[in-house]
Amino acid sequence: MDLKAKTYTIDVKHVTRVEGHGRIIVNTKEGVVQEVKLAITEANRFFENFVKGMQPAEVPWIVSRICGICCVGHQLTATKAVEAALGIQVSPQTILLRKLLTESQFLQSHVLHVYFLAVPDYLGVKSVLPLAKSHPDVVKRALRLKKLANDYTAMFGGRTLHPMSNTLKGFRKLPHLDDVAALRKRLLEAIPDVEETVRVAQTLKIPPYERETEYVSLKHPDEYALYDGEVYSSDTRSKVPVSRYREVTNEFTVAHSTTKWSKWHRCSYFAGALARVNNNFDQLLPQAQQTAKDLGLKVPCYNPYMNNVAQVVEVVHCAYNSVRMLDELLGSGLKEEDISYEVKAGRGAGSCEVPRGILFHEYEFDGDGRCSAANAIIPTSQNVNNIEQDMKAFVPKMLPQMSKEELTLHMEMLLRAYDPCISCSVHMLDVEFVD
Amino acid sequence: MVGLGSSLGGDDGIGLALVQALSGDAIFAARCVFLESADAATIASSFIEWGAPAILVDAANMALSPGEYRLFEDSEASAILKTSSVSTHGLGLAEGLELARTLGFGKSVYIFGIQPFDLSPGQGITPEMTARFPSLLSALKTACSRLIRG
Repeated sequence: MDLKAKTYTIDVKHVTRVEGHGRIIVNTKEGVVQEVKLAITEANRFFENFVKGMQPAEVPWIVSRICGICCVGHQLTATKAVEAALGIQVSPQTILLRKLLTESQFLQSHVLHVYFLAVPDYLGVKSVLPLAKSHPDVVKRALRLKKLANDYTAMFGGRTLHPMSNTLKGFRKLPHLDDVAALRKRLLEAIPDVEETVRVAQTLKIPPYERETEYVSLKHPDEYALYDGEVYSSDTRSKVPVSRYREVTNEFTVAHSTTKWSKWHRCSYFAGALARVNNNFDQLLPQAQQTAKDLGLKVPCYNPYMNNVAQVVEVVHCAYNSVRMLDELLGSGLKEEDISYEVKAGRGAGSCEVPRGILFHEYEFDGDGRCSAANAIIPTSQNVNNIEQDMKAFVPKMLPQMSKEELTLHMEMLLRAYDPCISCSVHMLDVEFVD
Repeated sequence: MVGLGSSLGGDDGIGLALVQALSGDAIFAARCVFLESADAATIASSFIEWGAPAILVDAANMALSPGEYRLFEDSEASAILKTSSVSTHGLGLAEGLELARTLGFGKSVYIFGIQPFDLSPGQGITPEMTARFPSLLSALKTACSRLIRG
């Protein structure tokens, strides 16, 4: 292939994310990569200012609005941070209910991302709409699983989006055990759909590009960490407490991005399903471990495109683990709990894994119980730096063997593989070439 | 009868409010459902699950005067409702319906659209829309009764 003919600019404008907009720029000259940038131009959301002056219980409900897909994760992370600030202890029942909420959100989000955003790329269609024509059974299955996950969230959260049942110290409304048993039955009946999802994932031709990086996730001594744990690095193979999260994120600014970037032990790190599977593979349920093997995901895996596969592995884990937790709940029963708490001054941090990676919240309250400071660092912000590093590593490898169109598609697929909040809009990208 | 919209978007909540009021009437109560802030996947799966004709009640930009309404079939409305975005956040009613149609939902869908005065964020419909509410509810009841009778 004539590399000298490869002089062009790829300019993917308006890569929209929940907080604003971004852009992919690739400049090549005679087959040599001159510039690769993931330029984020997101606007400030001001949530950290919205909550100033708010009472403790109000904060988690407000900040859940940061994201319509990760609303459960934002709410639970904020709840944990506020509880840490006020020294509130929660019961095993509350922790179990929150873990169920967490896994319902993982099922919702991963099914949505894998089927509606990732699979169309691999099956050569623009979106889920033509996919419904070419592969109606695939889309029907996706809708069934999404509906089940929505109902699952609504059962424990009170509604599908922005749950209102969870609050500080417990739950304002508990589900009926008959409904819990019915949900367990529906989850078991959905296992064939989950298995079929694995079979669909087996057919996807994942681009074979690898770049080793640092993988950061929560880690828990007793379980696959989604709701709780300490912050673990694959570089040091050690953990730090969530309260020291600023030592992890080390946020900094770059000229072409209005979102802050993060780095820990090297220039960038990866947060998300692949980081979790890499760091905590042994704690996945056996069915999920087998799925990883069936899908060719061998840890440590350094291929970021495999994040989609890791999400399917987590769908399997969450489906079976949800049944296990529902059994536990049905065995122990549910009782109303005292959710009153004492207001006092304090500062606390919380962290949960959300579908896109590790999420940190921190809040401070004055003696009147009014929020005086807040900080939220979302996974997409932490991943942006790593995505650009991937692009810089992969474009020189892709350039000799790909057309401009193929290269553009692979850059967009890479971005989508991370399932960033911008994934909500990457399918509406207008690609503009400037020769 | 399906109430659509967002109760936090000013007059975008008019569909929800009308169907809420409709549900107070014994004739319609068992037929009323709500899809508040629903995405296309939820809309599509709901239609497929129901498998029944539907009357959607929602704020709609139809280039009418604010407060006016129109009853039409979804096939007539596709050009009006289509949006250009194809994403999880951007997929809305039009795409949800199209998805359901593509997947085999073949029942009639009517839309009772109301031209909004203001869609700015905020709880509750505008005073102007509130003033029109009784006449809109009356028109909706008439339309629903007629369509149910076939």
